[in-house]
Amino acid sequence: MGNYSVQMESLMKRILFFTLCLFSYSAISADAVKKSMIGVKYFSEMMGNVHQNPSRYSQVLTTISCNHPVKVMKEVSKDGKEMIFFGENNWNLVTVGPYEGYVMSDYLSDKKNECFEEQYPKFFDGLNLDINDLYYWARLYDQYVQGKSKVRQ
Amino acid sequence: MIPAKFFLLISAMLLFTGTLLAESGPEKKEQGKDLLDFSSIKDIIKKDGLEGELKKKQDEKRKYLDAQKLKEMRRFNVPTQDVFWSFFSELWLVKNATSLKWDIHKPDFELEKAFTAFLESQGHFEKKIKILLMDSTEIVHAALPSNDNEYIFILSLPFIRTMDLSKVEISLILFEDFVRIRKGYFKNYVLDKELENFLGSNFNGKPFDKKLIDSHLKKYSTLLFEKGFTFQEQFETTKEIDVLLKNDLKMWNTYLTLLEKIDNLTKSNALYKKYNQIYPSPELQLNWLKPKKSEL
Repeated sequence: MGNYSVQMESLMKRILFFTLCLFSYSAISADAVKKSMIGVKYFSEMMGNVHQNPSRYSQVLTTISCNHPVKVMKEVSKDGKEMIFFGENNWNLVTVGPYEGYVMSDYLSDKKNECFEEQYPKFFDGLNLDINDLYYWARLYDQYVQGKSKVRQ
Repeated sequence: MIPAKFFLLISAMLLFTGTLLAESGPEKKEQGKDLLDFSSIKDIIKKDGLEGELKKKQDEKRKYLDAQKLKEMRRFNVPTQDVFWSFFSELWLVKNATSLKWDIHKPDFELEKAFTAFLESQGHFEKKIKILLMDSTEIVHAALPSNDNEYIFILSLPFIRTMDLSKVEISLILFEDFVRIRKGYFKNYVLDKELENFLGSNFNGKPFDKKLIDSHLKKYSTLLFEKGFTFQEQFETTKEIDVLLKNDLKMWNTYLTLLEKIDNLTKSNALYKKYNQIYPSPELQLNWLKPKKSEL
């Protein structure tokens, strides 16, 4: 019991997160923000979700597969300054078809990717993945916590 | 009386027609000869390079058709081992999503930061890690086979809570899995001759062997739910961690304390009775780690 519990730390972080969110969103009215396109990026994982808000647990607007192009947007204030709201720094605001939502930045790349299902299409088809499997595959990438140890110096 | 002028005119016309016929007759004959005898212009075509052009066009067409055929054949390629494992492990996670209960709302512990820092402290750089927390005690913790320099970990959230683990302790558990997966025990168990031959092959013209895939997915479940790792594998893993952590005695002691905690848990909590079957066993690990008392 002498250990510093990760659960307590996590709870404190969540309280701080919601407080800052409240301040951040109430300070800026929605009509003071304009959206403009930065460029096109490609989804780099097998399957993934576009969320309504920048949170992995936020409502899913649509599901996209590897190499799906998305229009990356930025939010600009009336005086032309780019705005990044608290909690949005790991997320990109994107437009996919009729939907506007958020995708994790780690899953977007500037160039087209070598996607497994494109390289091995018949093998992939042979697995007979149903809609349920594809749903869970997209959820898997919502649920992963990912990291990479740095380069040796 | 027919006038003399008329006869003169008829004579002139006949003469003109005769001249015309005399001029066109041999040419017509020559054209007819050309149509029938192709070989007479063969040399001219050769000189013009048309035959070479035709051959070039035919080669291009053949190459295009060959490329198309190859492209179509490549669609039936089976992934090589370099790209297969991460995909296959994820497929297993997807297929077992309901029993593993990983699709849940969970707090952000920032475990990835703690563990990558731990890996760096141990000299493991540029390793990509994916951690998946599960709301299940069916599997307490494991690393799944994956592609080079990539590691997929699964970890039980109830286990973290019951043990009240710190980030360092979680990192040590993940590190044990990291060492185990690098030793290749999991891959060696799943990869038999049949799968080895299948990977990197091409199944064009043959039916897709779905049974092979299903049977190997089952091997994942058998290892993680029932069979577990052998005593020998566990001994080798523990001994390697012993060597790696000995440079940092504080960390080594934390590992020892962690094993004691797990040992107590598996002996007192019925939910974790199976742990010793999968990772035999914390008690033995402690014996392997503790320095032997020298007899006087």
